[in-house]
Amino acid sequence: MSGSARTFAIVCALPALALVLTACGSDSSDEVAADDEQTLTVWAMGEEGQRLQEVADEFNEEFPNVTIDVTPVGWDQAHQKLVAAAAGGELPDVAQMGSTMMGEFIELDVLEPIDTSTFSQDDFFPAAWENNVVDDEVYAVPWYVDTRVLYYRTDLADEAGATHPPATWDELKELAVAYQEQAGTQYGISLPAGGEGAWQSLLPFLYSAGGSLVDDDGNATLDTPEATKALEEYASYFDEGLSNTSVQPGQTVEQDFGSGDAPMFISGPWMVNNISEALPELDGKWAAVPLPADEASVSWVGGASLVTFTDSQHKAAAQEFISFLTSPEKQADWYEVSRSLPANMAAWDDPRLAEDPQLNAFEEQLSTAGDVPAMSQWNEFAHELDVAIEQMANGGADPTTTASELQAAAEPLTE
Amino acid sequence: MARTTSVSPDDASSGQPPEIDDAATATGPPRRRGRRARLGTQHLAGWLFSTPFLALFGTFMAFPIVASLVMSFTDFGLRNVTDPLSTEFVGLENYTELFGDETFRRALFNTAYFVVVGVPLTIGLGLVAAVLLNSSIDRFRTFFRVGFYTPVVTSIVAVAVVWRFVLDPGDGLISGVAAEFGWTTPDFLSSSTLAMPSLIAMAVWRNLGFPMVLFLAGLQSIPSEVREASRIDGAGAVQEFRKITVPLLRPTMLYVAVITTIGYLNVFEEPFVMTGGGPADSTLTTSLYMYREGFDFFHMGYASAMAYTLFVIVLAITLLQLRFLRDKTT
Amino acid sequence: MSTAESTRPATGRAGSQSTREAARRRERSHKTLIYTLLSIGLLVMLAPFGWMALSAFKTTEDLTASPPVWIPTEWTLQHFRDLLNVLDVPLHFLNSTFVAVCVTAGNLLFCSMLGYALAKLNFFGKRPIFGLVLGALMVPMNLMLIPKFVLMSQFGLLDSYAALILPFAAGAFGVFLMRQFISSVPDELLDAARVDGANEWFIYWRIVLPLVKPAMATLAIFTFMGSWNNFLWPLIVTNDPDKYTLPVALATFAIDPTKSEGSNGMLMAGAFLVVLPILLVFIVLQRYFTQGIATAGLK
Repeated sequence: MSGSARTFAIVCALPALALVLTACGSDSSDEVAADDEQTLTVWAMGEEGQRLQEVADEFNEEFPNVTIDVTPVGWDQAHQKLVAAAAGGELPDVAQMGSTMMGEFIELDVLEPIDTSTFSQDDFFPAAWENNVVDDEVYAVPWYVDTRVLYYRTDLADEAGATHPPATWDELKELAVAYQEQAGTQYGISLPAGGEGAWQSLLPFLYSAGGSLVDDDGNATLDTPEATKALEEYASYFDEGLSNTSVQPGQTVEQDFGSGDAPMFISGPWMVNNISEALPELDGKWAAVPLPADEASVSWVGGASLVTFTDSQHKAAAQEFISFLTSPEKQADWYEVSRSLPANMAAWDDPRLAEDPQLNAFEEQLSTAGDVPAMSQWNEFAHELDVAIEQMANGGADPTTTASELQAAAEPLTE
Repeated sequence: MARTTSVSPDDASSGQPPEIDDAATATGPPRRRGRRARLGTQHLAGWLFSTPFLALFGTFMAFPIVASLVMSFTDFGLRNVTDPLSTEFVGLENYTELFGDETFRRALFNTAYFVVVGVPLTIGLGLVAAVLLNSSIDRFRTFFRVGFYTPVVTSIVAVAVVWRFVLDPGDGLISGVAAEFGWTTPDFLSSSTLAMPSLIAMAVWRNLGFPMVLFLAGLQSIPSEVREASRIDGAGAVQEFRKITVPLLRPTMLYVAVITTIGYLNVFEEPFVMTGGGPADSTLTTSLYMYREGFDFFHMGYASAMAYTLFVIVLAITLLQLRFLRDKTT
Repeated sequence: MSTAESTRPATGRAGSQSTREAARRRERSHKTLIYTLLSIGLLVMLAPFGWMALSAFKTTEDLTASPPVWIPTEWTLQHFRDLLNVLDVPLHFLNSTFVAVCVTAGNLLFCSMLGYALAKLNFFGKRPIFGLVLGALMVPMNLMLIPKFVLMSQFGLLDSYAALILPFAAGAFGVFLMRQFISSVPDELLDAARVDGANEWFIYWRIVLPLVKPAMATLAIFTFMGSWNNFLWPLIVTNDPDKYTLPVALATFAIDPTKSEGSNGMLMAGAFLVVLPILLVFIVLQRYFTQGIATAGLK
């Protein structure tokens, strides 16, 4: 029985032992020069996280003293992981940051402003740059961009009697009706009727109508005549039975696009690949074109930027790495690897991009697109937009009333 | 004597004679006082057995729990993540705001709906499955057990894909079957009246493997002699179930009821992947709302107040269950 | 046995040949009914798992087909190959296994110890401890994420196995479970041992634990599964991809909002790989539900 007594003692000691195992990391704030021997930790999301290490190896040829350590992080969890890291003072040296996350992390006061003598505003698409600016301070360098365009089924458009892609709101509506009536499709266009991220499809309507989310002073502008007009237009697709009013999170548009149930949708450049991969039989039967215009054809810019953090001791090397990734050559290389659209405009002159006809719609759209303003309470702001869309599409709410309610809900968020 | 104050919470009735009957054997620790008194109390052993758990718990859980409780009395927001010292105490403001928050009341109602309908169904079906799987079949037993357990382990992503297909109004399974008979089916997830029942069905389906496993384990503590005796006495299957199985499963039942209720009061994944809380907040549960406020909007103070309000509700219900389920055995 | 005695006395106890045969026939039809019920139930229960397993072997075209295709028109291992190309699957698998085994072992030991104390020992402070355990069950743990992370970073445990194991090595869930099951062990057995001079550790280790094997198996299944599927916490406390557990590693690329249903193939293949070990553990441990161990001690 002495044996079991010993086991008992060990068992009791285990948790205590675990505590002794702890050791605190050192916290020196000495900056390390770019040409010193060092390891740069980089967090990158999704596909980028998988592919960045290869590019980092190229960087290594130029800077053999810098070891790049890439941590891939899933998009869904990037936000939480970064916030927790900020709380614990455990942020990396460089991170990729989604366009809608910028406002929050600027508010968190953890981002190191970038050196505007190294990175020039004129090199990048204006909206991508604007997205990273708060109070004239620039916090991130645009890495890649995306923008929304209109995807439509050309084969069904022929059946519906359309001869050219819809260029105006009126033509868009006519085509949607014609799809239903002449080509016999279930819906005219796929627009989200609410749910997370529905704002992404509303924004092109808002910007094309000449409206905006906030004015120059950062105050919400959601009950302007332009905003009301955009909401009315958006809601009319549901009122007239041209779009599905059912909200199903996680549902993707490709299936309905492939089956022809919903022969149009608004989305970003990744859909080009997704459609050709998932629906090879549609080859030559669809096109991506600039958004139909109201006052103008204005889309919005998403994508990701690169940031470094105030706590990093490797800011100099981080800047070199960011310069490397955002240079026109590397941006064009990166496009080849990942199909992400370069944020650096000079990269678009590279033959690999210039000669791809599928990219024309995107390039055109990017030069005029608006930005998603960097707001500390963006998530809440976006949620209000999603709710407004659901109320109109599903609850039959009146667009004018919705606009003023939306404005009332958004005002406290933009103060 | 110290022992009179150191009884377990469900040991409220005192002064029971030290008689032991078989029914009580299965009901837990109460009414054991007579014998134990003779053997005395075991303070040292009790604490030695408790120490490893308490040490781990105290190290890793106590601080976060206290921290979030404190947070619920502050305006802790995004900025305080990196600058916690500038957090301001707001007293009970978060709590008073909660009671005026219509969305929160809606979420509480939805959660209650989910629990009241979902818990009995889950436990009931779990029990039926366990009883059928335990004694009545001899072939493919492992196969059946594993099969009934797979929903618990299957990735929620796969579960969501399949359930969306089942419920899809266009070419879904239910609408397809109904169409064969010439019936039309509603769009379940887009209807504010049908979305919640659909989620409950999904949750019951997904979770009944959990009580099933516990009941399977619990059924082992029923001596087979007892069953045989009742069978020799000519009791039918239903009678055996009612008179033998259910009463003797009470400790398990208590556990399953408490754990399932706690789990369902915190329901999160089903609405998160299926509806996102919609349509029109009809499937917004307390946990989902808390997640949104805490992690999407970063109103940590407010979300913490919500968490502790939920905590108090869960606590009250659990205490009721402990009392209610014990009383029935006496 | 009071409950048994209260049941109605049997009618045909005099048992002639014909009644016995009738009984056997009744039992057989009874069994058919049960098998039918269970088979229908099984079909309903297995559907999503089947979907997941089949999808892992489908081509991209099959995955995006509308209406959905259940049986792959063409079987492919492509998704698994892709998975092995982008991830060091064996490494993440080992990480997950190591963490899950440690967490399970910790829970089995620590929870059964406290469960035993709460169920069978009389000591000062028992009631508050049980209250603490119950309370801990009810606190929504997701909200503790950030304070917990800060704590870990203060301990310097980030990126370590300790951070993945220790916070889960003793769960309130397990204590409550063990307490409930140990409660049903007859006190006579323990008292008899005490009279014989056995100490409490001996009673716990040699008498109680063997009697609650089904409960231990249940706890093992649940904690193993919980640890294996644990996602948010390992994601946040590990930055070194070499420490990633399988679900975390999978999520680094599988969940991408800009990806089509087509990438579901890899997602399903990954999910399939994640589920297999849990099912294996379940299959191994479920036999403890059939051994009728509890009766052995009842004399």
